[in-house]
Amino acid sequence: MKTTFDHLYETYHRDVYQYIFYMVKDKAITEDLLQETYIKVLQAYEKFRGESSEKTWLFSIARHTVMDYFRKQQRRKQVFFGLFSKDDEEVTNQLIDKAPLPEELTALNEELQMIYHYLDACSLDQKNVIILRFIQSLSIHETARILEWTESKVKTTQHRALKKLRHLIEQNEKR
Amino acid sequence: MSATDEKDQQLINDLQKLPKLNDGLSKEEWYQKIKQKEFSNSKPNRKPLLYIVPSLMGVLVLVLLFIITEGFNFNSTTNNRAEDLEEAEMSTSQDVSMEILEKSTHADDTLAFTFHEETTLNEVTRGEHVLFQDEQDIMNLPMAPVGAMDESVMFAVPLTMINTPNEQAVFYNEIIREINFKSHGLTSLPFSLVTFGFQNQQLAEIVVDDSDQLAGTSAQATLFLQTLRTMFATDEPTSIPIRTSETDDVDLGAYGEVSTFEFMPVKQVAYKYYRFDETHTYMVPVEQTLAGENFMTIDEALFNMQESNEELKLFGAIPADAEYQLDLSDTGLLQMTFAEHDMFGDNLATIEMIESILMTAKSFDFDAVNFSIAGVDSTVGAYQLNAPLDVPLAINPTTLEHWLEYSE
Repeated sequence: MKTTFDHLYETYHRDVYQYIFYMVKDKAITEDLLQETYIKVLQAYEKFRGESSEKTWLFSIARHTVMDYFRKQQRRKQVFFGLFSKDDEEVTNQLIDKAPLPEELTALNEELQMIYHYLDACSLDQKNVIILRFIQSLSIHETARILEWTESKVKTTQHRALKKLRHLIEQNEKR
Repeated sequence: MSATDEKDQQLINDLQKLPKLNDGLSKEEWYQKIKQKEFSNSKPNRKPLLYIVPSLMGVLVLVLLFIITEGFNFNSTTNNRAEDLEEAEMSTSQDVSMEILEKSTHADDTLAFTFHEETTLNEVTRGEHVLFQDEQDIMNLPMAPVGAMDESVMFAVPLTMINTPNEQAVFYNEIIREINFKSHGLTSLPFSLVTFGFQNQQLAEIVVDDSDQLAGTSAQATLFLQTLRTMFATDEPTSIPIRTSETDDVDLGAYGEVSTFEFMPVKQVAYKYYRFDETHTYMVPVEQTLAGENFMTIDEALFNMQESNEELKLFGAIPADAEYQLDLSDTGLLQMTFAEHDMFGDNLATIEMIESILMTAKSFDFDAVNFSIAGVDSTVGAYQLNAPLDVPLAINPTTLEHWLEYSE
């Protein structure tokens, strides 16, 4: 187990950590979810048959772990969300995270910080695509394997996500 | 390159500038953390099932009791049931009309019937939160499942509307829009934004007029998904195309963009009571524990039915300190033997417990439940406990007329 862990850690740790962090935006939660991901991967490692690359397999497990976390959170968050607000700004404010920025992000310029915040205005699918494609620099093919989608769905979602982010940035600039 | 493409490229460049973060733990610390967690996960934490293991002596006693009981109750159980049905059938032939008992002691939203000759169907109706097949056979009125959610949008509230139009499209696309669910303590989907397409009386597609209003927040998306699932899920997973009037898919916020809607069956759930106020109580399915775990076996669901959450107005119908044993040895039949408890008797609390257990058992594919409750003779409300009780046909039955009347 130690040898396998060493290999996984050396090869993928940083990338998977980034992926989970940008999805949940909380270092403590990221650690918990990454720990859970490692456990699942180590338990299943012997059964890994190489049908996908080791990297996409690992990311796929991390993605399922993150999505499970969101599903569990969903039930709790619902209590606090208002219903049927037609006001975009209100919806956006509800979605944007209020957690303090991690140290590494406080040094960023205002525009990058804004983009970081607006990631939460995207749907989880859109957020997954943006993070995997542009923060992790994975190809359309790799992203499709991880998300278990067709490549065309990745492209469509990517297009919509960029459009949404652009719209939010433009709205902000008009204010 | 167009202006839009340039802006996209700029945005992509910016996204690529977002920094890599440090996690603050060394490789060794990670390894120790994982090892510890893996070790703690490997400890079994489930309680062993409490099944009755009948001894030879026990079987003999049961056989003797059965013979004695049957001997004294020639006309009980099946005969009573037959009489009940016969009586009710006679009543239906006498121009039975449905009338809501507005001052019902329990809930004005639940179904009750009165007959012109002052005979109440409650004599044969077992409960207010469930409807049985034989009752439907007598009524023979069309009914339709309707979904709503509690006021906090935490759990689905299934309803069975009775006396609905035979044409499903008319009911789901026109009449349902007139119901004010809020006045009944519920949150509903804005049905005016959704059009249901039917083919051969089966749901064929869902067209959303304004997905922004439906799924702007995760609560709205959940409301959308749960409501439709409550209304249209069957015993098998089903896929229904969903689109807007302009696009082939719908943005459901936190759930992403979907072009087909997957209706997963509502199975393996614990039924509890949502008590909005004194007059609005509904039986509701709970799919998970608060920790987000699904119920794998009926004993887990029954255990959860002993828990209440006052904040959510969600109450388990089995008393928290009640003790019982389960016997699952007979396929399709759940046998529950309760120890004596102050709450148990011929009273509403026990009726509600029986009904929620029957619904829970149904969700685990049981056909009937045999109750044995210490200190309670065979009669609880209209239920005769000396024979297995069939699981109900429908939940939270209510007449359409009543809901429309109270929606103004």
